[in-house]
Amino acid sequence: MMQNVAAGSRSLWRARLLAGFVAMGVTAGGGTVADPLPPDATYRPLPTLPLDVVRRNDEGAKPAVQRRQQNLLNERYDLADRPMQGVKMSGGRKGVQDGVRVKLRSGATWESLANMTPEEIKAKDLFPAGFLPLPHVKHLTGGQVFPENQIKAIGDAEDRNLKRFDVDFDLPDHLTPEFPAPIFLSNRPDLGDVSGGKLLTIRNYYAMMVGILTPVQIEGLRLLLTPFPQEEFNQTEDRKVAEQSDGVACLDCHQNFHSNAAFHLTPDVRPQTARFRLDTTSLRGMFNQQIHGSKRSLRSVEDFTEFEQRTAYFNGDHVSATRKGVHLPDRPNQVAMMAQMQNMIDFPPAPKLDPMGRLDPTKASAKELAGEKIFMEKGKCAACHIPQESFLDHQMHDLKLERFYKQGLVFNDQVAMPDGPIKTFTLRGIKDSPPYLHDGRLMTLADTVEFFNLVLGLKLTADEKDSLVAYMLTL
Amino acid sequence: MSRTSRSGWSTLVLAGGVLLASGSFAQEGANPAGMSPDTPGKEMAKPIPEGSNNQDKLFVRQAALGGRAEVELGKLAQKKATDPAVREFADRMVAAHTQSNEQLLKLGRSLNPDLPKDLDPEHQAIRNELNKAAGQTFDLAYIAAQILDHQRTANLLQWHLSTGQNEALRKYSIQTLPEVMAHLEHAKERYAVLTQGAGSKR
Repeated sequence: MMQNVAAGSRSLWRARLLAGFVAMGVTAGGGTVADPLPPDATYRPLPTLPLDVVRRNDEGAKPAVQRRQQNLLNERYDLADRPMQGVKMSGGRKGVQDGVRVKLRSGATWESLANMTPEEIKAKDLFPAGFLPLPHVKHLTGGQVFPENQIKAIGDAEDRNLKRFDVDFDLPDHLTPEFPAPIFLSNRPDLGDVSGGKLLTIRNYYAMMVGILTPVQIEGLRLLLTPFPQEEFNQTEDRKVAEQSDGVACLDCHQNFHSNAAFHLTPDVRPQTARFRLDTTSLRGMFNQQIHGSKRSLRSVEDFTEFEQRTAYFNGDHVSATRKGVHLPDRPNQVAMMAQMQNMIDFPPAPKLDPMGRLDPTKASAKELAGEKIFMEKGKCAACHIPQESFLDHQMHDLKLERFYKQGLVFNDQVAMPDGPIKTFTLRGIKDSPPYLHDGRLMTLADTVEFFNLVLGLKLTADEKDSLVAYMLTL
Repeated sequence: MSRTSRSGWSTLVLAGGVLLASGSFAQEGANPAGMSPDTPGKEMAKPIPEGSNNQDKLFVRQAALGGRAEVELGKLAQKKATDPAVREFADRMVAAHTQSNEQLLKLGRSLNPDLPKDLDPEHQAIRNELNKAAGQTFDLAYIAAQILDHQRTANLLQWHLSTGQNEALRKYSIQTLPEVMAHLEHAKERYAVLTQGAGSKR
């Protein structure tokens, strides 16, 4: 009886609320919001000035832009060149950087942070700035920025200019992947690295791959190496390269199907200040990846390849794309060939892993095995990075990082905002893929361990952290 | 201590994002493609920090309209809200936005932002509805409208930071944004309590 009365009063209350909503609906839902946000909060505006004036001002501001970003990086990270002894990336040509590089706030230690609640860390402003979203070197302009090695190689091979007049790449070379990266083919595992230490370009791909790949794969490769107009590299006045440009190719960022740490802003967020930086992801192991795009969760590499012309190339702005000359690959033919080519790219060999993705105890060291145990149990890593599924779970997860920091602070024109759900990335070949996280905010594997130790509240010991890094080097 | 950690940037970070760094950060950050064609100094690639573009003007108008509504609807809620926590929220809105509006108009008046005399039509309609509502219905309607308003203001500030040119106004937006986002969180919390649900609080 009492329950019925309570239920009755609740439903009466609900009815009153509903009436309130309906009343509000008359004003808010009437089809006219008096002053919505301006269209350039979503759409790319047309330039208001001629290119020569824009360029002069961009070039004038460039030293200060680079200095500002360098100051932010130095404030957040130790960027020194300190490779691990006896560890190289898979091609054997570049070292793997050692140690935690994210700097602590004054008065904090990693241990003291691990013993605090997210609320305390937030209230005392102790969240390491290196764990915050990393801004683009020039966030308000955004767009693709290539490292010097890629700019030089493509300039030499194709006489195509990937250098912007407004910004340069911001991370030191030793914190980026091996260049050129080795290429391992899933259809020819007997061969090993087929790159010969060279960068694949539109000028050399045929001679390098004929006889190894099928005709449709070679055609897919040609398309992946063909430059097409892009937001900053195109023929119009709205560009950031000196000359009219033929554009960029897919493999300009995904060099040799891996990554050169070229970066961009996510196409999936507006306004501009809220967009997060995107570090180029590796295409290795594409055959096992079921969702694509850090935010969009596209269900096939075909979908992703087709739509990338709207996103990586034009920031998710099909209007701008149409003006600058978008290339829309034909789905049944071109897209299928490009996708098939990407699906032929294997992970680098991991000789200590068994067919189930677990360490072979006869090959792994005691420390590596200890690291695997942490990975599977206390570290909770395997909850998402499932060994027998190429260290993926085909899900997006929200780490709710904003528990640790005040929202809305602006760093170099980027607003520190919640990232929301982001897809799980593979850990196979992970030592080859610095910097880490979707925006490249973490420089080393040791940084990723401290990050997840804090974010997941793991309370790992120093030994356990070391073992985890040793384990990840075997993947 | 390294040289950089003594720089203005370090002060900025340690002060939790309060912008103390001096100099021409507007020109550093902004895309000059969106600069106003009459900006003095642009031909020498040294645009003056006092320069402004259409987005700055529009921002002052929209932000001032929103701010004015915050204060006026807040005063209404101070009188009519039943829940003490909602009245407390209204107190916060009146105090914060009164101060913020003064600052905005001081910075933006010279841009001739073309401000209407009364509230904009949308907020007039909301005011009419709130005038008619009472009790819990009022509290909820007020908080629901506040959530929408603060979502829009947060986006407006971010849009201005994305496209505006005037240095002083950009500083204003940088300083105001965290506060507006905190108001939004506060409103979502109140909503969750009033509706006995989680609402959209993260």
